[in-house]
Amino acid sequence: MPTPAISLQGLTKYYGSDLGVADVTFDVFPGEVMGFLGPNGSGKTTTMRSLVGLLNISSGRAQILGEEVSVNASAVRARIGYLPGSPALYKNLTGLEYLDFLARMRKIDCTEQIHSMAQRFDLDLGRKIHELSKGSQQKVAVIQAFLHYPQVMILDEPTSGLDPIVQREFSAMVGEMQARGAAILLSSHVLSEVEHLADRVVIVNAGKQVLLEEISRLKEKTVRTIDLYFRAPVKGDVFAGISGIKDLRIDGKRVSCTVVGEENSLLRCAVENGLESVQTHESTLDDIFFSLVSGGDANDLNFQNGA
Amino acid sequence: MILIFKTARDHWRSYLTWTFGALAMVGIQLSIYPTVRSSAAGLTSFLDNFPKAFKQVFRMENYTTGAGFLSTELFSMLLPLIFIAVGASWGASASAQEEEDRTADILLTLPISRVRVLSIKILTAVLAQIVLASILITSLVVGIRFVDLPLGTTKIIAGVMTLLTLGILFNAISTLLGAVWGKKSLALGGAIGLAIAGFLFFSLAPLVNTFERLTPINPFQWTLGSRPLYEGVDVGYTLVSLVVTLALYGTSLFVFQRRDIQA
Repeated sequence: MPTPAISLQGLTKYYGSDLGVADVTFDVFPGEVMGFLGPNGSGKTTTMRSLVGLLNISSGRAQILGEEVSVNASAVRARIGYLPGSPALYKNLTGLEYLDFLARMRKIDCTEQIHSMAQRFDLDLGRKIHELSKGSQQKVAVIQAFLHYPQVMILDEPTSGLDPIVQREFSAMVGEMQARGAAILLSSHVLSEVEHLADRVVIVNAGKQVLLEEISRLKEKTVRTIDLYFRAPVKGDVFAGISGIKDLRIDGKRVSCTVVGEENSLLRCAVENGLESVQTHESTLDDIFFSLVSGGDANDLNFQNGA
Repeated sequence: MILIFKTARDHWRSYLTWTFGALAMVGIQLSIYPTVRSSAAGLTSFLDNFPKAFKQVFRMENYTTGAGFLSTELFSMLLPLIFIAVGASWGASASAQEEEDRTADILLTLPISRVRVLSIKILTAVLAQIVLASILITSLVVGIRFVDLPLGTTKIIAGVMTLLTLGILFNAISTLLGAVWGKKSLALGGAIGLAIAGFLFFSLAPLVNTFERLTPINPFQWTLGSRPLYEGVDVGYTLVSLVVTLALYGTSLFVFQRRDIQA
């Protein structure tokens, strides 16, 4: 088992008597992208700000690269790339001046990376930041998180305001950082983006962690709706005894049902009975997310939770 | 060094405005002095008729002398106001501006400690006030030669050093308020409010016994009250002021290091 690059054990943060997050526990390993989901005010940003030392943790533990995180842990921050949600930059500087300022503060020469990343994002570095569009300001903010090739990346809504072409370039950069062994914690409202980029996902709601699961396993355990079309009308009893199917509905040549887990038995039986075509309605991360954050009870969800 | 330049760059417009304002005041007031000197006898008898309390409140003793004129016209209100304004605004910015603008989210996640960030900003503010003081000393030393105002250079240096001490003290006050509240406007307002209260207590002390009893803890007494243009730097009061300033800076660093940075 590799050592986690990010490790949270029961992380809890109160603002006075108000709960920010409670008992958040997960690890992110080198080379892994962890999707971090939750509705507004669920505690994602609080968790991320605690991880980079902007907030003091009320209880629990947070470690990055084996070191305890605190507001004073400045050494470990050299190896973190952090992109805050709605980042604010120095508006009176140009993009180049700002990125150069941050590189100098880090005591590293990032000139080549700055120009190369700006080219990938089609960003004009010579313009003052206050003259840039919101999307271009976001590009500058994204670049600052990547430019020192950090071992740990904490990205809060990184593609907010980016157009689809730049989002694709961003995804490629995340992939490159993952290939370099970076551990990446990524929150996003674009669930398809998380589904595409992340290996695992952690979901928080109302300050509580409600799910931690691999994306692939999550999809395996989701309930899918299947429509089967036959050459001739079929009888319902041909599907009796097939495990994992529910809500069977027969309408002449069309049979609909929901399936949990593998669907091989169902399809084999359908082929034997004259299957003409099949249509599967796969649950997306959106479905799972909305089930979790609106249902409230993890045991009463539209998918099979747990191992 | 890069953070010093960045901090200085953030303030250069307002800093130049205050500096030119101070130089303009020095120029205007010194240009009046020849008229005051030439009508010294008449003015003295005219001022003798003013109520004693009025003269005390407005520090109008020995108005026609070089020290008395500069003390009344520049060193009792106008120049202290400039040093307090510069000191308080740089202090509030040092500890609260970046949090209020949310630029602290990235700055304070760089591999540099919060104590170091705030210390550098405090150092830059102190250096800026030292430069302002040096410009003022130079302009006064040169200016009084032109208008033939009798006052020794050491007395001018003592007077400006006292203003510098006052400015740095209010820089420390606003730095602390910013570190506690994280809001620049509150920190600046709080520091300016304290300055106004302190100045009123100091000015009205000769008339109000309660205020008189508070003078030992009034920063204006430690600085302006020591009559530097007449008697030079008061080492005791200056030390008290510096110790309080250092304590305020130390508390600011302690608080700033531990506070939650709001999103």
